[in-house]
Amino acid sequence: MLPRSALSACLLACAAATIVTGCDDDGDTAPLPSSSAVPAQPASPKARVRFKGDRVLANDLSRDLGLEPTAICNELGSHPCTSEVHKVTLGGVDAYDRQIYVPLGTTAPTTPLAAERVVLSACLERAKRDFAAPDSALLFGGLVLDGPKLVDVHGEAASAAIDRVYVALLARHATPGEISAVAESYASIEASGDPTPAATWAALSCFAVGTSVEFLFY
Amino acid sequence: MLRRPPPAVWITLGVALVSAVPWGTAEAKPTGPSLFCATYPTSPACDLAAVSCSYCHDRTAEPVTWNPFGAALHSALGGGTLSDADYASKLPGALGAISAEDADADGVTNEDEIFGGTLPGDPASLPSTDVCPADVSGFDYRVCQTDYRYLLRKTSIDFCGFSPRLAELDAIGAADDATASQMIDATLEACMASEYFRGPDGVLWTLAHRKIKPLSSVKSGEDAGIIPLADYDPDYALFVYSQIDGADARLALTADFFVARVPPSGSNPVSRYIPLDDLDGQNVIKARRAGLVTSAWFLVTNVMFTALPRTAAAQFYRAYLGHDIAREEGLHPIPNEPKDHDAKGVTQAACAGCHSTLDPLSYPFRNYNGLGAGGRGKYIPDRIEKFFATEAPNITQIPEAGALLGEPQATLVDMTRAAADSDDFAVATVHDYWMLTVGAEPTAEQHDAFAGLVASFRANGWSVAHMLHELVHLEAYAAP
Repeated sequence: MLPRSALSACLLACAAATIVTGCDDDGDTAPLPSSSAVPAQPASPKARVRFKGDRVLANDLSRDLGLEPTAICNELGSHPCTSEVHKVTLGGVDAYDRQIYVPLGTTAPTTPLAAERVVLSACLERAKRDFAAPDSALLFGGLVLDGPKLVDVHGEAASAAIDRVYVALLARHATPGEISAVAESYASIEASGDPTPAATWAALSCFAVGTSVEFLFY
Repeated sequence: MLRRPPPAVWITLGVALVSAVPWGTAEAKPTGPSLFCATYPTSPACDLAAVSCSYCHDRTAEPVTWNPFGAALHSALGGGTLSDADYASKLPGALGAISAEDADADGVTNEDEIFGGTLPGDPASLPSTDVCPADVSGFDYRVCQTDYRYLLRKTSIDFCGFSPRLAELDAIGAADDATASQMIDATLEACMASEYFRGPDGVLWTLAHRKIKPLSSVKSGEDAGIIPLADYDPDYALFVYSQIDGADARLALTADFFVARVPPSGSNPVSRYIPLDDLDGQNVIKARRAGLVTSAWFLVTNVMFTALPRTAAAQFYRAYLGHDIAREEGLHPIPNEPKDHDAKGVTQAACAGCHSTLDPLSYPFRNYNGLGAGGRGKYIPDRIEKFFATEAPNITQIPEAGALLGEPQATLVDMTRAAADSDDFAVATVHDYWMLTVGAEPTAEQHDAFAGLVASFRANGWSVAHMLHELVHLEAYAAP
């Protein structure tokens, strides 16, 4: 289990997510770092974007991060977040008990919180497993460590790990600008005094990508 | 009506109009929609389904209020209360008189909105002003055109329940359009055979919830509730059966058999659905069965203890034809109705507007028992005479013959057959899947595509599977 400081470092990850997704607090497009190689892409006038919802979110996290469904946000070990605790909030229905036959027309005010909780839970679990067994790690193997710290977050191994996160969650490779942005978030995590900054950075890198518009919507 | 603006639009409109809204004491005219469509039969609002009262009204109960278009029309009609005959004779002229006006002041004339498929009484309902790039080469996605990577992602998520892998996206991105199109169809076919699509709580089960309206506390059978009255598992099974493998979707309303689900097992990883002549807990005789509308669950929960099952009729109309009478949709008043056989006071002016449609729709249910004496979920000839004769002086005069969409129907079996064969059923079915996949009401610009889908659905055996193969290739679904 990662230290609790990992959770408190969420804000850092949110900052990283902001960098990665290129949006500021108002949702407006912010300039990407100068090293970005993202090509100019016109905004579609159709704006046909939909939230994945409870079931797809759970399925994707399970498949993409190689986790059993029960390993993703299972409250008290017996109440799954996506199929029970936050089901309706995440766009699901509760037909049999509460007569909610159709999903909410729009996402609820607490939907982002629920989505972040689920993604964070999955990413923490993936990072925990990868750091516990680096030889069989799915995403975060091969990192050069000095105890709990990363030796070179801008090195080849860390960049490859970041790219694996993008491929797993977004089904595309990370751009140089995105790799740089995620790598740069490590310094603030280590500076925060986190006792296991490498593992925390790994989990929050995953969280940053997993809470991006590109992952949560389609 | 085909195009229903989202609630937010109506709320916004209502707030905007609150100080200027026209109020009146005139009664609403349920014949209005059909008269409107007789005047404008080629309007997109009319060619697939009936216009709803909200085309003109914000409120049809007293005090009646109109949206800007309705207010202009009301004024053109003289501003007072008209007899039905005068209203019918004057409405076409009044519509013509205001056709060149712009009632909602959105810059588009009433006539252009009526024929363009937008709402003449809603300033937020406007023709599309989308501006698409002329050249999409070099972009990540082919904006405004079919983009097969985008389409694969949507198809996989919507029908299989998960996102495609990088290798799959690369493969379809590298394929020519014809090959990519075939890959989409293959993905859809595989997904429609998956448990995510057809299993418990899958895509189809979820679609069926608002039709079946389950309630675990009164469920019988597997996972029975604390007061087991009837089982809804067979309802889900019949619904899924009618939607898969090229089946005729009308079976949902016409099947004289039942369906049982065989859960996945080692050799069969996906649920299977088996038709059966009889099923434990289902009590309606074969000759009186009408698919999901005569299942034990439907009758127990919708008829319950009532003599004249108006709730059952309204749920049938709402769930399968897309008309919510409580929202004054799908009104086809029958002359000299309602009769108020059960002395509920429905002949009052405030009630008659809807009950002149609802009560004739309810009559064919008169011999279908829900709960109480006579047994659960059974067809009982002379049910009213046997169990309800003392409830009201004229209650035994409730006929079994009724009316659907303005046409007489001798029995419930006849009525559900007519319903299943109707445009309304086709539109409602396609609309269900459109909302499921596109996620928004068809716009004025998408009207022709939607209409084409409905026509194709009817022409191809009312097969949902066939319809979905067409739907995923429409611009509305395939273009980012």
